[in-house]
Amino acid sequence: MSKRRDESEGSKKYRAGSFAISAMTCPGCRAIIEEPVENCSRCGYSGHSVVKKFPFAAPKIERYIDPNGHFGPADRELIDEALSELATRFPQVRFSFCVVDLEQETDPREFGFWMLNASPVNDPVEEKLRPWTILLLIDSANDRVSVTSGYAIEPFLNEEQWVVLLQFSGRLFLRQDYGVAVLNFVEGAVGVLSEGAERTERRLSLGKAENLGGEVRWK
Amino acid sequence: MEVKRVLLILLALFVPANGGQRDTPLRPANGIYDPEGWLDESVRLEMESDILVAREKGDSAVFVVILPGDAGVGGNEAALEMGRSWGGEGLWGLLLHVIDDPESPRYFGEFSRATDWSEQQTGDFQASIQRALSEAARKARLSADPQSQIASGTRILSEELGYLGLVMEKIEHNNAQARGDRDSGETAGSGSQVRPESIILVVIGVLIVIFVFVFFRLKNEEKREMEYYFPATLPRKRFLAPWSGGGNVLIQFNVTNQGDRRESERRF
Repeated sequence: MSKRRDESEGSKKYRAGSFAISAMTCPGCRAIIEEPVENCSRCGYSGHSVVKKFPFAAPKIERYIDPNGHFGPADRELIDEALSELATRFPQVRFSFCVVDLEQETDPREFGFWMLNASPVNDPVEEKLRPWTILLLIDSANDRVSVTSGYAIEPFLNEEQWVVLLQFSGRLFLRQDYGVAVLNFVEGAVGVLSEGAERTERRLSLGKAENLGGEVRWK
Repeated sequence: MEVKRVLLILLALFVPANGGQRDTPLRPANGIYDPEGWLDESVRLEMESDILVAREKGDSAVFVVILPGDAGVGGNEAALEMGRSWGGEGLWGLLLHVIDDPESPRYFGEFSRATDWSEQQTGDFQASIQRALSEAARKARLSADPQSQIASGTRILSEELGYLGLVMEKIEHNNAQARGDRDSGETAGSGSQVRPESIILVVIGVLIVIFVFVFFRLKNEEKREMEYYFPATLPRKRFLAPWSGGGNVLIQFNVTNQGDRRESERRF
């Protein structure tokens, strides 16, 4: 499908906004923001706000964050297998599945935002993986599901497709059959990532044609 | 009745076939043909023993034929015919004694079996047979009376032909060994040569190795082609968050009053 871009193009970086099609929103008030800001212009929200809201240590980001043991060994085996298959196609992407019981007032999107940012990054491997992480947060207490992604993978994802994908497994989430639900999610994620990859390639081709060998427009 | 008729016909066919050999008596079990019982019993027993030794020693056949005095010159032909009939193509010797014939006993012998011997071997062996016959005749004449001569001649002839039987076995053995060496030599010689079949097998083997190598190389390339790497981007860092700007996907699943039907509510 494509060359190994990280090897062939060295440190060349594109503007994330050139690829992104999903809106940026404030984790606090859900207001759409046009440009990256340090504080929400509407509610003043920032990273400090969420740390104050969840004043405890965030768990380490792992493939399974499952304190209540919703994923059995068989579930994990199937999910691991599906992830291995996905990794052969998209080696950069890391998935994490977290099942927690949140308060009714807690927004899983904000909780996911907090987890991805507040979880410790203590080694270079995690430092490299964190921006490419897609966190599926399952609030088992309230039958809610959210998806949060790191900065690196975020521009290439269409959040509308996550919604469709999760709705497909709604009955499984309701039954708290999270193993199968997550397996469906992983298998569907291949399609979401593939669509993102094709869209990215189209944008890259368009950019090169417009610049006719000049400096990359997206940089 | 029909069976009897058939048997009679078969007998009629069989009898003329034997009729052609009516002058040649059946081979004597002890090797001595003495229809008139001219030989003394003690001499006969001694001769039988000697003949048996020759047979056991070298698988050689020795016969003694005693013919009446009126056999005349035709006795030689009869003796040869009997020797060939009884001894077949193997090594045999025959002592012929015509009663009251001063030229008796006479000695005959042959070895006519087809062999793969060399001419030299064949010639030497035939000469040895003749020497054995002469030797037996010469030594037997030293005895006084005819029966003693016959007994002596039989013993000497048995010893000589027994020895020649061993020689014959030795020649066969040596030839067989020579053939074996030659065959193994030929095999070894052929192994050192590069045979076309070997070349073809080597070529096929090399092609298979190349094919496997190319197959896995292409498969690996295909796999690498399947890999997709998203381009690196300058992150849209916001809200002072180092790793993620958060997501906007939230789905609430609700159970309706109608069984396990679900509703999902998307919240933005």
